[in-house]
Amino acid sequence: MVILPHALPSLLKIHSKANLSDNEILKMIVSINQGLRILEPNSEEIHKNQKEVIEIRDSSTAAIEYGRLIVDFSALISSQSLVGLGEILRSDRLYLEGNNISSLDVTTNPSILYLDMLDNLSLRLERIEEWLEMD
Amino acid sequence: MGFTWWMPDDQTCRGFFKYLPRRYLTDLEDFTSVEITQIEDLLLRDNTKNHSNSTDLINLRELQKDHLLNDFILCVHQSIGNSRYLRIPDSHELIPDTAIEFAERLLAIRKRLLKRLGE
Repeated sequence: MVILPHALPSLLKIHSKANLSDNEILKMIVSINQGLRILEPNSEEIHKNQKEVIEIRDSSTAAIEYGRLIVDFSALISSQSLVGLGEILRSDRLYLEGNNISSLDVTTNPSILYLDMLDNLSLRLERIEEWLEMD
Repeated sequence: MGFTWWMPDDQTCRGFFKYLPRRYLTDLEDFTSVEITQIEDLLLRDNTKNHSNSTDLINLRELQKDHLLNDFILCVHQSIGNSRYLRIPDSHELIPDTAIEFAERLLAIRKRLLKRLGE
């Protein structure tokens, strides 16, 4: 991970903007804005987990629940990753624009909604683990 | 990472959940949600313990997972992949450790479940 002088995660390939011309900085900001325009609409979409609770009583129901779980989990990490990318890009833009962002809390910390969804998935995961008698 | 470097990519968490950085696949096999629903309904009604239907369902769900993650990879490439100024990060920089651990447990379940279905 590139750590810029502002000590936050970054997606910039440069280590510092100190030796960059204004024109180069402007090009980077344009590139960030282009990226955000694609990312933002996609990261707003929250995948709805399977609402129906399924009782695991045999290998068939375990297969059904496992299948639903991998899809729900994949959707969750995809949306969380897109949100994280957007946050880092916005932080990079602030840095390039010369803002003081030393106190900015820009990280890939998950949201409460994300953690709630992961908790829900964990309960479902535990039920399959119990049925499979996993340690 | 341990000794996972010698394992086939799709049997590691990194490969199975397509951690970044990774290229977008253009040749993924198609699937339909209707087919998934039909097999689920069949499995819920059928008490004959026909394991081939369960295996078919798992294959379809994993294909659905691959499509979902591939769409995500495409979005990442389209947004920052073509920029000469920006890099695509590793997924470990974007998702918390709890999710990485969850992925490992899910993969362990897959292994155990497929073994159970093969018995």
